[in-house]
Amino acid sequence: MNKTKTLQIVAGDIPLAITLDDHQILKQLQSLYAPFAGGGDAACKIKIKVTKGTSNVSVQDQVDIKFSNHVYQVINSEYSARIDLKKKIGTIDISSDWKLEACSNAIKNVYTFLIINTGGLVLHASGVARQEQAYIFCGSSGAGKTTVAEISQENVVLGEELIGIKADAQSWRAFSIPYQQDCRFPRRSNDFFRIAGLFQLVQDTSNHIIPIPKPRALADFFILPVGFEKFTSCYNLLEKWHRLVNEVGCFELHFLPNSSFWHCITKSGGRSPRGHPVTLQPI
Amino acid sequence: MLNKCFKRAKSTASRTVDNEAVVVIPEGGLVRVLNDAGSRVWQLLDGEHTVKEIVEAISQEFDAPAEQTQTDIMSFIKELEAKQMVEGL
Repeated sequence: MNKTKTLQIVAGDIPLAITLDDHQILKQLQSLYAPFAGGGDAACKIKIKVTKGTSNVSVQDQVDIKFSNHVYQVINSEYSARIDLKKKIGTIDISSDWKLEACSNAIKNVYTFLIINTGGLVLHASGVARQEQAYIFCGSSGAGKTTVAEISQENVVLGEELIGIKADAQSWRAFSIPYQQDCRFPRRSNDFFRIAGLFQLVQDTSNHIIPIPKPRALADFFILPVGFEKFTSCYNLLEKWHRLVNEVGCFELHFLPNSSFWHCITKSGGRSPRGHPVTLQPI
Repeated sequence: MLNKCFKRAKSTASRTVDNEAVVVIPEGGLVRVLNDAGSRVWQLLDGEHTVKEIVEAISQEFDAPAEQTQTDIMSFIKELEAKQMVEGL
């Protein structure tokens, strides 16, 4: 008989306790989440069950997200999750067709939910930590988020798709959210890094950065995660984003697909006088 | 329409940044930045000003021809209404 074991991880100062009785997956998760190993009073205790066959969603790509009475539910083709915020417990049913990938996606989703629930933000972005500062790269699909992360592997890669952000009294800090796709990067960290700048990616024939005016920065970077419009006040989220773009430099980064763009960023210090475009010589 | 009042929809969230209104429509996650005139119209869409009063205010504040201002504002409000960003009272 399999014995249930518990995996404890921490991301963004949010401890999560995960129990499951599939030892093969548990071992894989332990390896995947090694940088996030930790303990503490769990913000949520999740029980993962692997069920045979496909999930109870008949349409392959359909995602159903609900939130009411402190309970958050997600149903898609890989898994179904139910998190009770008040009781701090949750269950995730994984289809045996997906296993590890489904576990990783479900845990990533749970963390997105917990981060927003505790006052943080989650960005659809890649992030790189360099000299104790975080550089966050945003853009639509194909803009180059993964490219930037892959080019920058000698640094700590916070993530290639999702980045967590929290504010303290002095600054905004970025952190990694546990995710399977990020484990291929050799340098990972569970630390917080002060954000040096937010960069909207534009692939170009030269490297240069251009400051983004605050109203446009708020419009460009603001994200309301799908399904969260019923969970969190849009106004409160907008207020946090406003504070973020007000306090952190926001730029368009026009870049070549090689590491030369880092010279462009660090030469400018990630900041420039407000209202003055910073255009450097092509590298 | 000129004597009608419109009010910003409760479902929208907005923030004025450097005299420009950034408006979020939660359903669909749309985000729009309104220029200074659009932001002022947005501010006046409080359910207490008729379209006629808004036209007069904008025409005066931005020193714009009344007729063109009226055409532009009515078109703007119709667009907002179509996107469910405002509700007619």
